[in-house]
Amino acid sequence: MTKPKPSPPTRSIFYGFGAWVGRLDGRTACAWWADDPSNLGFDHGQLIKTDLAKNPAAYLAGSISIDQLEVDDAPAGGGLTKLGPTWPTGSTINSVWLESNFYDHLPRRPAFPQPFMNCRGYELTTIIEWAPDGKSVHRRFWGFHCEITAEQGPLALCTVWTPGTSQTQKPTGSWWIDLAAHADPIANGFTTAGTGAAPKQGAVFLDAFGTRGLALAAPKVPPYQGGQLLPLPKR
Amino acid sequence: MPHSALLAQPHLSVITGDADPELARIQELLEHKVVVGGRGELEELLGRLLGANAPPTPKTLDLIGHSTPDLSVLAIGAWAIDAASATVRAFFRELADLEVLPRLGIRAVRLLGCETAGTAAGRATICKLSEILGAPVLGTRQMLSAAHYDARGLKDECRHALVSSDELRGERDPGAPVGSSGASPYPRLLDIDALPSSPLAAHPPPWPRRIATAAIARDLLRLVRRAAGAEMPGLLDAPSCELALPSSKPGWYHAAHVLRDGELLRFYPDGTHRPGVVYPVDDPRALRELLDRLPAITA
Repeated sequence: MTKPKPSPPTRSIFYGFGAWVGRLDGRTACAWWADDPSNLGFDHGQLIKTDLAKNPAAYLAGSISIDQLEVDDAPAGGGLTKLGPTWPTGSTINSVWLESNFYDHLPRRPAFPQPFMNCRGYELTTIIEWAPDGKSVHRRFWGFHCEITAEQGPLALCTVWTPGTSQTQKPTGSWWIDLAAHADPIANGFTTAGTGAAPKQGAVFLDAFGTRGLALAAPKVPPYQGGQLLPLPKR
Repeated sequence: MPHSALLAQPHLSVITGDADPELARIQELLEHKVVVGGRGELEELLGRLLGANAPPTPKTLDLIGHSTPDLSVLAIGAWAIDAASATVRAFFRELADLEVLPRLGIRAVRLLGCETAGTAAGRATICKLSEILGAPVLGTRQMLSAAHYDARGLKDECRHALVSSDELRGERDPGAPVGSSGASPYPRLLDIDALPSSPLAAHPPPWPRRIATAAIARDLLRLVRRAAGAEMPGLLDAPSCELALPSSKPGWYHAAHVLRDGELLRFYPDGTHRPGVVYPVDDPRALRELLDRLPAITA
């Protein structure tokens, strides 16, 4: 009897955290606090061990399995993990986007979103949809807070907030967006707002094409870090 | 060091002369470098390099020093490279006017000090210098030390510490009221009288044009949801036709594009150089019937 072949992965979800490095464990491995360590008494018990090399690029290169993913790629790879990427010269206070399963199994999970972020969790969430063979990225979605104020067939007039700002700022712009073409379908469980009978306010996860058209800044994590336009082109 | 050897490197490393121990370590590490004491010496150096008439090998101009404690802009000797200063702008404008960078093969300028892109003044300097020079200018978003350098200059593996003028221009303050595309935060009202107008001959479109009478224009506009205007990024559809709606000035018209079989009308309230604003049509069939009553004129 042959062992059943595992089905290829379909999606990987990443959550954005601000990170303060407290210990370097190797060229790409570190342990970080999910808050300014001054607020945590520099408690090493609260450090989160992460290997920044265990990212989608490493998975695509075949050096790790999908189960070993820990973080999203660095900006050069299309992700937003700006911590590191290598030690000792890397950035020690910056963003790290944790893979959802890795986050779920952390012994001490930091709150998500972090209390200082003042936004909804989906604004700090990105989804990689793998190609059917699991060997390349098919699409990447970014989460936005959105209010739909008018509809025309599959088109929605969306008032959109820059990610990371929905609870403190005014919306950034209003656009007609073809949600059928550019949003992750509500059935997948991430997008909550939509046309027809769907709620008119909530999360909309847009693909690179839809995101590029809005030309909004990526969330600033931690908030005082600089931002970049979404989506991030691979270099 | 011969100028030709300096110019043959991928980085032209120019390091400030007022070396504290950290900068001294960087000076020791760099195999090919020039130490300068300020703006005057930098100017002299560039002049001498131009005189070498060496082939312009592609390279970066790396200015290496500390950043100032107040604005976090790079300092070479006592010269703080702050684009808010007219003398700094004039220096770089002269380099641009004399085409110094391209003649030396310099493709980008890197301001290598701690967090030279870490402040608004630093970022403004990076963008302004890039604008003046017509070349990318890069700064840093973190502390730099001797550990970031090897004999060739800034280590390739440390390039992640850099941020370019192109990236900075693309950044937006999330607190800013509008998006980078200039989209309005809220849907826009259609005010027909506020639309730009022009004679028909001014902008002949590549698609059929239908000229509306005042009466039909009124009927057409009744079909438009006038409070639901917004840009539609990525809308690549070519219009099926252009509507010319008469303006209050005789012989001048407002232009509107008919999109998606009459589902949408696109107006250009901010001029044709700005993205159009799309409005939904409540009854596309009625719009099409009205359009059929207008003669089509093909350019």
